[in-house]
Amino acid sequence: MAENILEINNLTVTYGQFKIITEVSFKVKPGEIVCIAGESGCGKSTLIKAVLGLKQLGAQVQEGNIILDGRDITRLGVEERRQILGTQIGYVPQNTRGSFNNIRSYEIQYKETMNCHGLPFVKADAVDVFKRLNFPDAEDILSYQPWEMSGGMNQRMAIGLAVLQKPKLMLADEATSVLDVTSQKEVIEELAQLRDELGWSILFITHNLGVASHIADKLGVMYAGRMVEYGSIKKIINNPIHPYTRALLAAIPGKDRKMPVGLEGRPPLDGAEWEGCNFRPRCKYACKECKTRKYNLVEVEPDHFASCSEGMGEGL
Amino acid sequence: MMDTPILEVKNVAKSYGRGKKEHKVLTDLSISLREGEVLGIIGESGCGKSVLLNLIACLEPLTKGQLFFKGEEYTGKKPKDVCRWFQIIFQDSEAAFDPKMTIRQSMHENLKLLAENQDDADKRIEAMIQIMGLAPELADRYPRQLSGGQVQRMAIARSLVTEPNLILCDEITSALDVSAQAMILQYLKLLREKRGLTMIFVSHDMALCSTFCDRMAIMKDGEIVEIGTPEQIMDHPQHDYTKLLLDAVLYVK
Repeated sequence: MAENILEINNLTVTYGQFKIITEVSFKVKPGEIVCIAGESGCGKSTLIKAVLGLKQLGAQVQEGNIILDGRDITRLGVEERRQILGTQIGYVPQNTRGSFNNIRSYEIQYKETMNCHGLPFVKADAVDVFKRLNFPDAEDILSYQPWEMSGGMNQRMAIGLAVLQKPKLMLADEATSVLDVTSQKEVIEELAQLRDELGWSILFITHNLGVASHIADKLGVMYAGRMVEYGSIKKIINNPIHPYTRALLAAIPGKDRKMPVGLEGRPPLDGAEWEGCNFRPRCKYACKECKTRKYNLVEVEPDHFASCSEGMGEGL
Repeated sequence: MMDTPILEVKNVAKSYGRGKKEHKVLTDLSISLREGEVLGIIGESGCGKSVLLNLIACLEPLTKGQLFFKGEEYTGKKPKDVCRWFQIIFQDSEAAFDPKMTIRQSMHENLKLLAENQDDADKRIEAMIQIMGLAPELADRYPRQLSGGQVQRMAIARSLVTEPNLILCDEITSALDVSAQAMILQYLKLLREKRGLTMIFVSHDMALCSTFCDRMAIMKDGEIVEIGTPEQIMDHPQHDYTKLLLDAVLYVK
Protein backbone atom coordinates (compact mmCIF):
# COMPACT_ATOMS: atom_id res chain seq x y z
CA MET A 1 0.00 0.00 0.00
CA ALA A 2 1.23 3.43 -0.86
CA GLU A 3 1.93 5.99 1.81
CA ASN A 4 -1.26 7.85 0.99
CA ILE A 5 -4.55 6.30 -0.02
CA LEU A 6 -5.58 9.46 -1.78
CA GLU A 7 -3.42 12.29 -2.96
CA ILE A 8 -4.92 15.37 -4.52
CA ASN A 9 -2.32 17.60 -6.10
CA ASN A 10 -3.00 21.10 -7.26
CA LEU A 11 -6.46 20.19 -8.50
CA THR A 12 -8.49 22.59 -10.62
CA VAL A 13 -12.01 21.56 -11.60
CA THR A 14 -14.53 23.30 -13.85
CA TYR A 15 -18.12 22.90 -14.96
CA GLY A 16 -17.98 24.10 -18.53
CA GLN A 17 -16.48 27.57 -18.24
CA PHE A 18 -17.07 27.90 -14.50
CA LYS A 19 -14.08 27.26 -12.35
CA ILE A 20 -15.30 25.60 -9.17
CA ILE A 21 -12.15 24.33 -7.50
CA THR A 22 -8.80 26.04 -7.76
CA GLU A 23 -5.46 24.50 -6.91
CA VAL A 24 -6.59 22.30 -4.05
CA SER A 25 -4.07 19.85 -2.61
CA PHE A 26 -4.34 17.43 0.28
CA LYS A 27 -3.65 13.84 1.24
CA VAL A 28 -5.60 11.08 2.95
CA LYS A 29 -3.48 8.52 4.79
CA PRO A 30 -4.62 4.93 5.38
CA GLY A 31 -6.98 4.80 8.35
CA GLU A 32 -7.55 8.52 8.37
CA ILE A 33 -10.83 10.41 8.30
CA VAL A 34 -10.57 13.72 6.51
CA CYS A 35 -13.48 16.16 6.66
CA ILE A 36 -13.99 18.91 4.14
CA ALA A 37 -16.21 21.67 5.48
CA GLY A 38 -17.68 24.79 3.94
CA GLU A 39 -20.93 26.41 2.88
CA SER A 40 -23.25 25.31 0.10
CA GLY A 41 -21.60 26.35 -3.13
CA CYS A 42 -17.99 26.27 -1.97
CA GLY A 43 -17.05 23.30 -4.15
CA LYS A 44 -16.91 20.51 -1.61
CA SER A 45 -19.27 18.17 -3.46
CA THR A 46 -17.47 18.95 -6.71
CA LEU A 47 -14.33 17.63 -5.10
CA ILE A 48 -16.05 14.29 -4.54
CA LYS A 49 -17.36 14.29 -8.10
CA ALA A 50 -13.84 14.88 -9.39
CA VAL A 51 -12.53 11.91 -7.40
CA LEU A 52 -15.37 9.72 -8.67
CA GLY A 53 -14.58 11.02 -12.14
CA LEU A 54 -17.91 10.13 -13.70
CA LYS A 55 -18.34 12.12 -16.91
CA GLN A 56 -22.11 12.41 -16.49
CA LEU A 57 -21.63 14.35 -13.24
CA GLY A 58 -20.13 17.14 -15.30
CA ALA A 59 -17.04 18.00 -13.29
CA GLN A 60 -13.98 18.35 -15.51
CA VAL A 61 -10.49 18.19 -14.11
CA GLN A 62 -8.44 20.89 -15.85
CA GLU A 63 -5.19 20.74 -13.97
CA GLY A 64 -3.54 18.71 -11.27
CA ASN A 65 -3.97 15.05 -10.53
CA ILE A 66 -5.72 12.59 -8.25
CA ILE A 67 -3.66 9.64 -7.06
CA LEU A 68 -5.41 6.65 -5.53
CA ASP A 69 -3.09 4.29 -3.70
CA GLY A 70 -0.13 5.19 -5.86
CA ARG A 71 -2.00 5.14 -9.16
CA ASP A 72 -2.94 8.22 -11.11
CA ILE A 73 -6.70 8.02 -11.71
CA THR A 74 -7.24 11.55 -13.00
CA ARG A 75 -7.87 10.62 -16.60
CA LEU A 76 -9.04 7.03 -16.75
CA GLY A 77 -11.17 5.57 -19.52
CA VAL A 78 -14.72 4.45 -18.86
CA GLU A 79 -13.80 0.76 -18.48
CA GLU A 80 -10.85 1.34 -16.17
CA ARG A 81 -12.92 3.75 -14.12
CA ARG A 82 -15.63 1.15 -13.72
CA GLN A 83 -13.14 -1.27 -12.26
CA ILE A 84 -12.08 1.01 -9.43
CA LEU A 85 -15.48 2.48 -8.52
CA GLY A 86 -17.25 0.56 -5.81
CA THR A 87 -14.42 -1.85 -5.20
CA GLN A 88 -11.73 0.71 -4.47
CA ILE A 89 -13.73 3.88 -3.99
CA GLY A 90 -17.01 3.60 -2.09
CA TYR A 91 -19.56 6.38 -2.21
CA VAL A 92 -22.43 7.33 0.07
CA PRO A 93 -24.52 10.14 -1.42
CA GLN A 94 -26.54 12.69 0.50
CA ASN A 95 -29.89 11.70 -0.90
CA THR A 96 -30.08 7.92 -0.72
CA ARG A 97 -33.85 8.07 -1.32
CA GLY A 98 -32.92 8.90 -4.87
CA SER A 99 -30.24 6.23 -5.19
CA PHE A 100 -32.27 3.18 -4.29
CA ASN A 101 -35.32 2.11 -6.24
CA ASN A 102 -38.13 2.64 -3.79
CA ILE A 103 -40.22 -0.39 -4.70
CA ARG A 104 -37.68 -3.17 -5.09
CA SER A 105 -36.24 -5.09 -2.20
CA TYR A 106 -32.81 -4.22 -0.87
CA GLU A 107 -31.69 -7.76 -1.60
CA ILE A 108 -32.22 -7.41 -5.35
CA GLN A 109 -30.60 -4.00 -5.39
CA TYR A 110 -27.63 -5.15 -3.33
CA LYS A 111 -27.17 -8.10 -5.63
CA GLU A 112 -27.35 -6.01 -8.78
CA THR A 113 -24.88 -3.50 -7.46
CA MET A 114 -22.40 -6.15 -6.39
CA ASN A 115 -22.64 -8.02 -9.70
CA CYS A 116 -22.32 -4.79 -11.61
CA HIS A 117 -18.96 -4.25 -9.93
CA GLY A 118 -17.96 -7.83 -10.70
CA LEU A 119 -18.34 -9.08 -7.13
CA PRO A 120 -20.34 -12.05 -5.91
CA PHE A 121 -23.24 -11.34 -3.58
CA VAL A 122 -23.24 -13.53 -0.50
CA LYS A 123 -26.19 -12.91 1.74
CA ALA A 124 -24.38 -14.10 4.85
CA ASP A 125 -21.66 -11.50 4.31
CA ALA A 126 -24.26 -8.76 4.09
CA VAL A 127 -25.94 -9.92 7.29
CA ASP A 128 -22.51 -10.00 8.88
CA VAL A 129 -21.89 -6.38 7.89
CA PHE A 130 -25.31 -5.35 9.25
CA LYS A 131 -24.59 -7.04 12.55
CA ARG A 132 -21.24 -5.38 12.80
CA LEU A 133 -22.91 -2.03 12.19
CA ASN A 134 -25.58 -2.82 14.82
CA PHE A 135 -28.52 -2.61 12.43
CA PRO A 136 -31.78 -3.62 14.05
CA ASP A 137 -33.38 -6.66 12.42
CA ALA A 138 -30.14 -7.57 10.62
CA GLU A 139 -31.43 -10.98 9.48
CA ASP A 140 -34.52 -9.76 7.66
CA ILE A 141 -33.65 -6.25 6.63
CA LEU A 142 -32.66 -7.28 3.08
CA SER A 143 -36.20 -8.38 2.31
CA TYR A 144 -37.56 -4.88 2.96
CA GLN A 145 -38.09 -2.23 0.33
CA PRO A 146 -36.77 1.32 0.73
CA TRP A 147 -40.21 2.93 1.04
CA GLU A 148 -40.83 0.92 4.19
CA MET A 149 -37.79 2.45 5.85
CA SER A 150 -37.12 5.74 7.54
CA GLY A 151 -34.66 8.16 5.94
CA GLY A 152 -32.05 7.28 8.54
CA MET A 153 -32.35 3.55 8.00
CA ASN A 154 -32.19 4.01 4.24
CA GLN A 155 -28.99 6.01 4.65
CA ARG A 156 -27.52 3.25 6.77
CA MET A 157 -28.43 0.67 4.12
CA ALA A 158 -26.47 2.76 1.61
CA ILE A 159 -23.50 2.73 3.95
CA GLY A 160 -23.92 -1.03 4.37
CA LEU A 161 -23.81 -1.48 0.60
CA ALA A 162 -20.66 0.59 0.28
CA VAL A 163 -19.05 -1.36 3.14
CA LEU A 164 -19.87 -4.70 1.57
CA GLN A 165 -17.71 -3.87 -1.43
CA LYS A 166 -14.72 -3.27 0.85
CA PRO A 167 -13.32 -0.20 -0.88
CA LYS A 168 -10.02 1.32 0.18
CA LEU A 169 -11.50 4.76 0.36
CA MET A 170 -14.99 5.82 1.29
CA LEU A 171 -16.47 9.08 0.06
CA ALA A 172 -19.38 10.43 2.07
CA ASP A 173 -21.10 13.51 0.68
CA GLU A 174 -23.16 15.13 3.45
CA ALA A 175 -24.14 11.60 4.42
CA THR A 176 -25.72 12.72 7.67
CA SER A 177 -27.18 16.12 6.81
CA VAL A 178 -30.68 14.87 6.05
CA LEU A 179 -30.90 12.80 9.22
CA ASP A 180 -32.23 13.87 12.55
CA VAL A 181 -29.90 14.04 15.50
CA THR A 182 -30.19 10.52 16.86
CA SER A 183 -29.77 8.79 13.49
CA GLN A 184 -26.99 11.21 12.66
CA LYS A 185 -25.09 10.18 15.74
CA GLU A 186 -25.58 6.50 14.93
CA VAL A 187 -24.27 6.93 11.39
CA ILE A 188 -21.26 8.91 12.60
CA GLU A 189 -20.44 6.26 15.14
CA GLU A 190 -20.77 3.52 12.54
CA LEU A 191 -18.36 5.25 10.21
CA ALA A 192 -15.85 5.76 13.02
CA GLN A 193 -16.24 2.13 14.01
CA LEU A 194 -15.48 0.99 10.48
CA ARG A 195 -12.32 3.01 10.46
CA ASP A 196 -11.21 1.52 13.78
CA GLU A 197 -11.99 -2.07 12.83
CA LEU A 198 -11.00 -2.16 9.20
CA GLY A 199 -8.49 0.66 8.99
CA TRP A 200 -10.45 2.44 6.29
CA SER A 201 -9.92 5.90 5.01
CA ILE A 202 -12.90 8.19 4.72
CA LEU A 203 -13.30 11.50 2.94
CA PHE A 204 -16.27 13.11 4.65
CA ILE A 205 -18.00 16.20 3.33
CA THR A 206 -20.10 18.26 5.72
CA HIS A 207 -21.09 21.84 6.50
CA ASN A 208 -21.35 21.08 10.19
CA LEU A 209 -18.13 21.41 12.12
CA GLY A 210 -19.86 19.83 15.11
CA VAL A 211 -20.22 16.61 13.13
CA ALA A 212 -16.68 16.93 11.79
CA SER A 213 -15.16 17.36 15.21
CA HIS A 214 -16.63 14.07 16.37
CA ILE A 215 -15.31 11.95 13.56
CA ALA A 216 -12.40 13.54 11.71
CA ASP A 217 -8.64 13.46 12.19
CA LYS A 218 -7.97 16.15 9.62
CA LEU A 219 -10.09 19.07 8.55
CA GLY A 220 -10.04 21.11 5.37
CA VAL A 221 -12.10 24.29 5.25
CA MET A 222 -13.04 25.36 1.74
CA TYR A 223 -14.25 28.74 0.62
CA ALA A 224 -15.27 29.57 -2.96
CA GLY A 225 -13.22 26.78 -4.45
CA ARG A 226 -10.06 27.19 -2.43
CA MET A 227 -8.78 25.45 0.65
CA VAL A 228 -8.43 28.25 3.18
CA GLU A 229 -7.38 26.22 6.18
CA TYR A 230 -6.13 22.67 6.49
CA GLY A 231 -4.64 20.49 9.18
CA SER A 232 -5.29 18.53 12.34
CA ILE A 233 -8.90 19.11 13.38
CA LYS A 234 -8.00 19.57 17.04
CA LYS A 235 -5.53 22.29 16.19
CA ILE A 236 -7.97 24.09 13.89
CA ILE A 237 -10.84 24.01 16.35
CA ASN A 238 -8.70 25.12 19.27
CA ASN A 239 -6.90 27.73 17.25
CA PRO A 240 -8.81 28.71 14.10
CA ILE A 241 -6.74 31.10 12.00
CA HIS A 242 -8.63 32.06 8.84
CA PRO A 243 -11.48 34.59 9.37
CA TYR A 244 -13.83 32.26 7.49
CA THR A 245 -13.06 29.28 9.72
CA ARG A 246 -13.76 31.46 12.72
CA ALA A 247 -17.06 32.62 11.21
CA LEU A 248 -18.03 29.01 10.52
CA LEU A 249 -17.32 28.05 14.12
CA ALA A 250 -19.27 31.04 15.45
CA ALA A 251 -22.36 29.94 13.50
CA ILE A 252 -22.74 26.68 15.41
CA PRO A 253 -25.00 26.75 18.46
CA GLY A 254 -22.82 25.92 21.42
CA LYS A 255 -23.28 24.49 24.87
CA ASP A 256 -23.36 27.98 26.41
CA ARG A 257 -26.73 28.69 24.68
CA LYS A 258 -25.43 31.94 23.24
CA MET A 259 -26.95 33.05 19.96
CA PRO A 260 -24.91 31.73 17.05
CA VAL A 261 -23.46 34.42 14.81
CA GLY A 262 -24.26 34.17 11.11
CA LEU A 263 -22.39 35.25 8.05
CA GLU A 264 -24.17 37.48 5.52
CA GLY A 265 -24.09 36.63 1.83
CA ARG A 266 -22.87 33.54 0.07
CA PRO A 267 -19.64 32.46 -1.56
CA PRO A 268 -19.21 33.94 -5.05
CA LEU A 269 -19.87 31.32 -7.72
CA ASP A 270 -16.99 32.65 -9.78
CA GLY A 271 -14.91 32.92 -6.62
CA ALA A 272 -12.01 31.04 -8.06
CA GLU A 273 -11.52 33.69 -10.75
CA TRP A 274 -11.12 36.60 -8.38
CA GLU A 275 -8.06 38.68 -8.05
CA GLY A 276 -7.06 38.98 -4.43
CA CYS A 277 -8.96 37.36 -1.59
CA ASN A 278 -12.46 36.20 -2.56
CA PHE A 279 -13.72 36.26 1.01
CA ARG A 280 -13.15 40.00 1.35
CA PRO A 281 -16.75 41.21 0.71
CA ARG A 282 -17.90 39.20 3.72
CA CYS A 283 -14.82 39.54 5.87
CA LYS A 284 -14.81 41.76 8.94
CA TYR A 285 -11.10 42.30 8.71
CA ALA A 286 -10.86 43.09 4.99
CA CYS A 287 -8.32 45.80 4.23
CA LYS A 288 -6.67 47.37 1.19
CA GLU A 289 -4.07 44.66 0.78
CA CYS A 290 -6.81 42.02 0.49
CA LYS A 291 -7.65 43.32 -2.99
CA THR A 292 -4.33 42.21 -4.37
CA ARG A 293 -3.16 39.61 -1.88
CA LYS A 294 -2.25 36.33 -3.56
CA TYR A 295 -3.72 33.14 -2.21
CA ASN A 296 -1.05 31.36 -0.26
CA LEU A 297 -1.50 28.48 2.18
CA VAL A 298 1.21 28.79 4.84
CA GLU A 299 2.10 26.58 7.76
CA VAL A 300 1.17 28.32 11.01
CA GLU A 301 2.16 25.44 13.27
CA PRO A 302 3.07 21.82 12.56
CA ASP A 303 0.16 20.12 10.78
CA HIS A 304 -1.88 23.32 10.52
CA PHE A 305 -2.03 25.51 7.40
CA ALA A 306 -4.03 28.67 6.75
CA SER A 307 -4.19 31.10 3.85
CA CYS A 308 -4.91 34.22 5.90
CA SER A 309 -4.49 35.27 9.51
CA GLU A 310 -6.07 38.71 9.30
CA GLY A 311 -7.75 39.92 12.50
CA MET A 312 -6.22 37.27 14.72
CA GLY A 313 -6.51 37.94 18.42
CA GLU A 314 -9.56 40.17 18.07
CA GLY A 315 -12.09 37.40 18.52
CA LEU A 316 -15.26 37.51 16.48
CA MET B 1 -57.84 39.58 30.16
CA MET B 2 -54.08 39.58 30.17
CA ASP B 3 -53.73 36.01 31.32
CA THR B 4 -55.62 34.39 28.48
CA PRO B 5 -53.13 32.44 26.41
CA ILE B 6 -52.99 33.41 22.76
CA LEU B 7 -53.23 29.79 21.73
CA GLU B 8 -54.52 26.79 23.60
CA VAL B 9 -54.46 23.25 22.29
CA LYS B 10 -56.57 20.96 24.49
CA ASN B 11 -56.41 17.15 24.42
CA VAL B 12 -55.88 17.03 20.71
CA ALA B 13 -55.74 13.67 18.94
CA LYS B 14 -55.21 12.90 15.29
CA SER B 15 -55.29 9.61 13.49
CA TYR B 16 -55.24 8.62 9.85
CA GLY B 17 -57.24 5.72 8.45
CA ARG B 18 -60.06 3.85 10.13
CA GLY B 19 -60.68 0.53 11.83
CA LYS B 20 -57.79 -1.87 11.63
CA LYS B 21 -55.72 0.48 9.54
CA GLU B 22 -56.05 3.33 12.01
CA HIS B 23 -52.73 4.98 12.62
CA LYS B 24 -52.58 7.29 15.62
CA VAL B 25 -50.23 10.20 15.11
CA LEU B 26 -51.18 12.35 18.07
CA THR B 27 -52.81 10.75 21.07
CA ASP B 28 -53.63 13.35 23.70
CA LEU B 29 -51.71 16.54 23.38
CA SER B 30 -52.19 19.85 25.17
CA ILE B 31 -50.11 23.01 24.98
CA SER B 32 -50.71 26.66 25.61
CA LEU B 33 -48.80 29.68 24.46
CA ARG B 34 -48.65 33.18 25.92
CA GLU B 35 -48.42 36.28 23.78
CA GLY B 36 -44.79 37.04 22.91
CA GLU B 37 -43.59 33.58 23.75
CA VAL B 38 -41.41 31.35 21.58
CA LEU B 39 -42.08 27.66 22.07
CA GLY B 40 -39.67 25.14 20.59
CA ILE B 41 -41.03 21.70 19.74
CA ILE B 42 -38.35 19.09 19.38
CA GLY B 43 -38.68 15.56 18.17
CA GLU B 44 -37.42 13.12 15.59
CA SER B 45 -38.85 12.57 12.13
CA GLY B 46 -42.29 11.03 12.33
CA CYS B 47 -43.16 12.08 15.87
CA GLY B 48 -46.07 14.22 14.69
CA LYS B 49 -44.64 17.71 15.08
CA SER B 50 -45.56 18.89 11.58
CA VAL B 51 -49.04 17.40 11.93
CA LEU B 52 -49.50 19.43 15.09
CA LEU B 53 -48.74 22.65 13.21
CA ASN B 54 -51.15 21.67 10.43
CA LEU B 55 -53.88 21.07 13.00
CA ILE B 56 -53.27 24.42 14.69
CA ALA B 57 -53.58 26.20 11.35
CA CYS B 58 -56.73 24.18 10.50
CA LEU B 59 -55.08 22.68 7.42
CA GLU B 60 -56.34 19.29 8.57
CA PRO B 61 -59.36 18.37 10.69
CA LEU B 62 -58.87 17.15 14.27
CA THR B 63 -59.90 13.68 15.33
CA LYS B 64 -60.49 14.79 18.90
CA GLY B 65 -59.87 17.82 21.07
CA GLN B 66 -60.31 21.58 20.99
CA LEU B 67 -58.40 24.61 19.82
CA PHE B 68 -58.66 28.09 21.36
CA PHE B 69 -57.39 31.41 20.05
CA LYS B 70 -57.35 34.13 22.73
CA GLY B 71 -59.84 32.13 24.75
CA GLU B 72 -62.30 31.57 21.90
CA GLU B 73 -62.78 28.14 20.46
CA TYR B 74 -62.02 27.81 16.75
CA THR B 75 -62.03 24.04 16.32
CA GLY B 76 -63.21 23.00 12.86
CA LYS B 77 -62.80 26.37 11.14
CA LYS B 78 -61.55 26.68 7.57
CA PRO B 79 -57.92 27.65 6.81
CA LYS B 80 -59.08 30.93 5.27
CA ASP B 81 -60.78 31.89 8.53
CA VAL B 82 -57.64 31.49 10.55
CA CYS B 83 -54.86 32.50 8.15
CA ARG B 84 -55.18 36.04 9.47
CA TRP B 85 -53.98 34.74 12.84
CA PHE B 86 -51.51 32.07 11.83
CA GLN B 87 -48.88 31.86 9.13
CA ILE B 88 -46.84 28.73 8.54
CA ILE B 89 -43.29 28.76 7.20
CA PHE B 90 -42.06 25.48 5.78
CA GLN B 91 -38.69 23.81 5.43
CA ASP B 92 -38.57 24.13 1.66
CA SER B 93 -39.65 27.68 0.98
CA GLU B 94 -38.51 27.68 -2.60
CA ALA B 95 -41.31 25.20 -3.21
CA ALA B 96 -43.74 27.37 -1.25
CA PHE B 97 -43.18 30.37 -3.56
CA ASP B 98 -44.69 30.32 -7.02
CA PRO B 99 -41.68 29.88 -9.32
CA LYS B 100 -43.27 32.03 -12.03
CA MET B 101 -43.91 35.01 -9.78
CA THR B 102 -41.37 37.43 -8.43
CA ILE B 103 -41.08 37.57 -4.66
CA ARG B 104 -42.93 40.90 -4.73
CA GLN B 105 -45.86 39.44 -6.68
CA SER B 106 -46.08 36.53 -4.26
CA MET B 107 -46.18 38.90 -1.34
CA HIS B 108 -48.87 41.01 -3.01
CA GLU B 109 -51.02 37.89 -3.28
CA ASN B 110 -50.73 37.44 0.45
CA LEU B 111 -51.68 41.04 1.13
CA LYS B 112 -54.61 40.95 -1.31
CA LEU B 113 -55.99 38.00 0.58
CA LEU B 114 -55.43 39.27 4.07
CA ALA B 115 -55.07 43.02 4.31
CA GLU B 116 -57.92 45.50 3.98
CA ASN B 117 -55.73 48.42 3.10
CA GLN B 118 -53.76 47.89 -0.12
CA ASP B 119 -52.44 51.43 -0.57
CA ASP B 120 -49.02 51.12 0.92
CA ALA B 121 -48.51 47.45 0.03
CA ASP B 122 -45.19 48.02 -1.72
CA LYS B 123 -43.89 50.11 1.13
CA ARG B 124 -44.85 47.49 3.67
CA ILE B 125 -43.26 44.72 1.64
CA GLU B 126 -40.02 46.60 1.28
CA ALA B 127 -39.92 47.58 4.93
CA MET B 128 -40.40 43.96 5.94
CA ILE B 129 -37.68 42.76 3.59
CA GLN B 130 -35.31 45.31 5.07
CA ILE B 131 -36.08 44.13 8.57
CA MET B 132 -34.98 40.68 7.43
CA GLY B 133 -31.67 42.20 6.39
CA LEU B 134 -32.14 41.92 2.62
CA ALA B 135 -31.97 44.58 -0.07
CA PRO B 136 -35.46 45.66 -1.30
CA GLU B 137 -34.30 45.19 -4.91
CA LEU B 138 -34.24 41.45 -4.27
CA ALA B 139 -38.04 41.55 -4.16
CA ASP B 140 -38.09 41.72 -7.96
CA ARG B 141 -36.20 38.48 -8.36
CA TYR B 142 -37.68 35.05 -8.84
CA PRO B 143 -37.28 32.49 -6.03
CA ARG B 144 -34.69 30.49 -7.96
CA GLN B 145 -32.48 33.55 -8.24
CA LEU B 146 -31.98 33.70 -4.48
CA SER B 147 -29.89 31.49 -2.24
CA GLY B 148 -31.57 29.04 0.14
CA GLY B 149 -31.03 31.32 3.12
CA GLN B 150 -32.37 34.35 1.27
CA VAL B 151 -35.52 32.53 0.12
CA GLN B 152 -36.13 31.41 3.68
CA ARG B 153 -35.81 34.99 4.93
CA MET B 154 -38.19 36.12 2.17
CA ALA B 155 -40.65 33.48 3.34
CA ILE B 156 -40.46 34.87 6.86
CA ALA B 157 -40.96 38.39 5.49
CA ARG B 158 -43.94 37.21 3.45
CA SER B 159 -45.58 35.60 6.44
CA LEU B 160 -45.04 38.69 8.59
CA VAL B 161 -46.17 41.30 6.09
CA THR B 162 -49.80 40.52 6.89
CA GLU B 163 -49.11 40.90 10.60
CA PRO B 164 -50.28 37.55 11.92
CA ASN B 165 -50.61 36.95 15.66
CA LEU B 166 -48.60 33.78 15.62
CA ILE B 167 -46.12 32.24 13.22
CA LEU B 168 -45.59 28.53 12.97
CA CYS B 169 -42.12 27.51 11.79
CA ASP B 170 -41.70 23.97 10.53
CA GLU B 171 -37.99 23.02 10.43
CA ILE B 172 -37.22 26.29 8.71
CA THR B 173 -33.46 26.02 9.04
CA SER B 174 -32.76 22.33 8.57
CA ALA B 175 -32.17 22.60 4.83
CA LEU B 176 -29.67 25.42 5.26
CA ASP B 177 -26.01 25.38 6.11
CA VAL B 178 -24.86 26.62 9.48
CA SER B 179 -24.00 30.19 8.51
CA ALA B 180 -27.36 30.78 6.81
CA GLN B 181 -29.11 29.13 9.75
CA ALA B 182 -27.42 31.46 12.21
CA MET B 183 -28.48 34.46 10.08
CA ILE B 184 -32.13 33.36 10.21
CA LEU B 185 -31.96 33.01 13.96
CA GLN B 186 -30.43 36.44 14.35
CA TYR B 187 -33.21 38.07 12.37
CA LEU B 188 -35.91 36.13 14.18
CA LYS B 189 -34.42 37.35 17.44
CA LEU B 190 -34.37 40.90 16.12
CA LEU B 191 -38.03 40.56 15.12
CA ARG B 192 -38.89 39.39 18.59
CA GLU B 193 -37.26 42.45 20.07
CA LYS B 194 -38.88 44.83 17.57
CA ARG B 195 -42.37 43.36 17.26
CA GLY B 196 -42.89 40.92 20.11
CA LEU B 197 -43.32 37.94 17.87
CA THR B 198 -45.18 34.88 19.13
CA MET B 199 -43.90 31.72 17.56
CA ILE B 200 -43.88 27.94 17.57
CA PHE B 201 -40.54 26.72 16.34
CA VAL B 202 -40.46 23.08 15.30
CA SER B 203 -37.01 21.58 14.93
CA HIS B 204 -34.98 18.49 15.62
CA ASP B 205 -31.99 20.47 16.79
CA MET B 206 -31.97 20.96 20.54
CA ALA B 207 -28.84 23.08 20.60
CA LEU B 208 -30.46 25.47 18.16
CA CYS B 209 -33.73 25.76 20.09
CA SER B 210 -31.96 26.27 23.37
CA THR B 211 -30.36 29.45 22.08
CA PHE B 212 -33.55 31.40 21.61
CA CYS B 213 -36.73 29.63 22.76
CA ASP B 214 -38.48 30.56 26.00
CA ARG B 215 -39.74 27.06 26.50
CA MET B 216 -38.91 23.76 24.83
CA ALA B 217 -41.27 20.82 24.46
CA ILE B 218 -39.89 17.37 23.75
CA MET B 219 -42.19 15.26 21.63
CA LYS B 220 -42.13 11.51 21.13
CA ASP B 221 -44.63 9.31 19.31
CA GLY B 222 -47.35 11.96 19.34
CA GLU B 223 -46.99 12.98 22.96
CA ILE B 224 -45.13 15.70 24.74
CA VAL B 225 -42.90 13.92 27.21
CA GLU B 226 -41.24 16.93 28.75
CA ILE B 227 -41.67 20.69 28.63
CA GLY B 228 -39.66 23.40 30.31
CA THR B 229 -37.26 26.31 29.95
CA PRO B 230 -34.02 25.70 28.06
CA GLU B 231 -32.18 25.61 31.40
CA GLN B 232 -34.48 22.90 32.74
CA ILE B 233 -34.36 20.83 29.58
CA MET B 234 -30.68 21.18 28.76
CA ASP B 235 -29.21 21.12 32.26
CA HIS B 236 -31.69 19.00 34.21
CA PRO B 237 -33.49 16.69 31.80
CA GLN B 238 -36.00 14.42 33.55
CA HIS B 239 -37.32 12.09 30.86
CA ASP B 240 -35.10 9.34 29.42
CA TYR B 241 -35.95 10.37 25.88
CA THR B 242 -34.82 13.94 26.53
CA LYS B 243 -31.55 12.55 27.82
CA LEU B 244 -31.20 10.43 24.70
CA LEU B 245 -31.75 13.43 22.45
CA LEU B 246 -29.33 15.55 24.46
CA ASP B 247 -26.73 12.85 24.18
CA ALA B 248 -27.05 12.92 20.40
CA VAL B 249 -26.30 16.63 20.08
CA LEU B 250 -22.91 16.97 18.45
CA TYR B 251 -21.27 20.07 19.85
CA VAL B 252 -17.95 21.16 18.49
CA LYS B 253 -15.42 19.61 20.77
